[in-house]
Amino acid sequence: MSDVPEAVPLLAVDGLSVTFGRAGASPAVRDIAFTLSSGERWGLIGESGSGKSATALAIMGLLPEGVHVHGSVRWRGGELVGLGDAAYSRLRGDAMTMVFQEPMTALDPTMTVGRQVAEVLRLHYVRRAADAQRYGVGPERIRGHARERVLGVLAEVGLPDVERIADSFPHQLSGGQRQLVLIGMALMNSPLLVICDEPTTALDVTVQATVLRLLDAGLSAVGAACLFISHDLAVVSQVCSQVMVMYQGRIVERGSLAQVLGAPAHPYTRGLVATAAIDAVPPGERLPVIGDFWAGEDGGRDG
Amino acid sequence: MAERHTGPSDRGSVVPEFEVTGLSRSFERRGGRGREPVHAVDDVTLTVVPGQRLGIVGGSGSGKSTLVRMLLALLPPTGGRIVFRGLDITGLPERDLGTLRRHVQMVFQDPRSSLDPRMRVGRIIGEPLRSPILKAQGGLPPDSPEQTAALLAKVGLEPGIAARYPHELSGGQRQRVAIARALAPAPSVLVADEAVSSLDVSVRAQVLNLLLERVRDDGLTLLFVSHDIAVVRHLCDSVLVMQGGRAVEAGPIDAVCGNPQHPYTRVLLDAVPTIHVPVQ
Repeated sequence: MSDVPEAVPLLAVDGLSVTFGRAGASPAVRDIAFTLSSGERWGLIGESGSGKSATALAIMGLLPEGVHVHGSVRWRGGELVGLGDAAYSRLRGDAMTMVFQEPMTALDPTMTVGRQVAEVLRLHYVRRAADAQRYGVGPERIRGHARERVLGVLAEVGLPDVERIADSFPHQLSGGQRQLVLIGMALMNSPLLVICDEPTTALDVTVQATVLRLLDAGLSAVGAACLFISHDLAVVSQVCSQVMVMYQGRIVERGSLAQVLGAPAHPYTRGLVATAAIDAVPPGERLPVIGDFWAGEDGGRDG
Repeated sequence: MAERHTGPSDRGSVVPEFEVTGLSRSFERRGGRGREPVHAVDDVTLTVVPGQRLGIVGGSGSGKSTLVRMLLALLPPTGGRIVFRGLDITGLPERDLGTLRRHVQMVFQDPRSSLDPRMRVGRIIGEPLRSPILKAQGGLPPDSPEQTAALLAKVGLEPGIAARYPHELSGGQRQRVAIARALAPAPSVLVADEAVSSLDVSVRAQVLNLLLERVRDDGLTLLFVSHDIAVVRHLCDSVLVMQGGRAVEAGPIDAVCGNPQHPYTRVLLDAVPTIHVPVQ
């Protein structure tokens, strides 16, 4: 971070649009702009189809061929849109990492968890071999300590019985344990930015509470910035201090959590805040819905 | 609400919908560590009276889904007894389960997989009305376009939806279709297994409002399975808390949430994510 002037944000998104399918189709992301500075934690909230996942994938360079990405995504001043895969993969998993919703598909089912963690350590290591040599540390030395480091990564995210977990295959772990493994992998190279896409949506509430607490602690320990994508304001508020609201591909509101939750400016945001607070409604009474606040740009929504 | 709860005192002369005694289900473990069977559901006893809205709450692996699968006779128990409307249905063959199939309908978590992608919505909704098993029970409404439109209206959907395929609908619309299908044979008991868990928070509110409205207006009995005690609290009048296959706490929802007796109930209450606004 020290080699980058203060004024250059970690991530600067400007005029970003993402269009799936043929050109002329309606874009999933429409001309959005935001910046994210070192250590900041932004929630990106919206419902399914609002374009939040497409935004994350565009930043990570993970959109498939044939998806049209326009605009600019700058990483510490350097343009990422149009960057080749080789250059991108140097960034991904290292300075910029991602935690997905479904840990079962993000992990290789044929490899033990320990091997997968070691793999990422090794890739990361090879890339920095030159650095290591500068400090007089040989490859043998790191390899010899791989097991120890793997166990350390697993212990840091609060997993119990790390020896057993390292020797397990993904299907032998619970959903929460798998997600913690992924969070450990996302944090172990001390990234500058972690993008989380609905990381607890597939988990039940008790496991979700644990995962959010450990993610929060891990981000603090590493000092990483975070872009946290969710449809659930309550979940976002556990991890982030700032929030952007996305609706039909556009960012309709942004600000500190206190400001956006306390005095939402956009009627859609007012609806989101109201629907998130189920405990504010007496049991059995009708819950507020978005439609009470915002009829939508197309004159109405159905759910 | 609490007066509807099934205490021994208020059962009175009403025939319960379900009377379950010592229900257990164990699975043999193949390979892995140890040979001892897994007790997915372990000695659960419960009674569900007409009009009751019972929440069954617990984390993944608590046995809540296994329990309702046994109640629906989709999985045979390895111990205990299930009585439905006075009839012992434990281990009955499918051909003798007509009454249960006729009166108990189910809504699943993921409407993407529970709705046949090759059928139009109209056919999906009418399917239970064409079932020979249900027809044999009598009293079914006809499978007509008017009936389909009426069912769609009941779940807040336009009649035109009948001509669409499930993939053309949003997640919330699909779950409304699943509810319409469950309501088609005019059941007395609706079982919902994590029916709002895969929905966005904003869509969840709409589907919960719909469920409450239908349960009230149609006088349904509701069995609502969820990992989220906040949703159960909103929807149900009574609750059964499950952990490790056992019913660790049960009672009227206000009493259980207001004064939890079991530590796990407290864990579930504490885990509910509430909006946390940092001090600026």
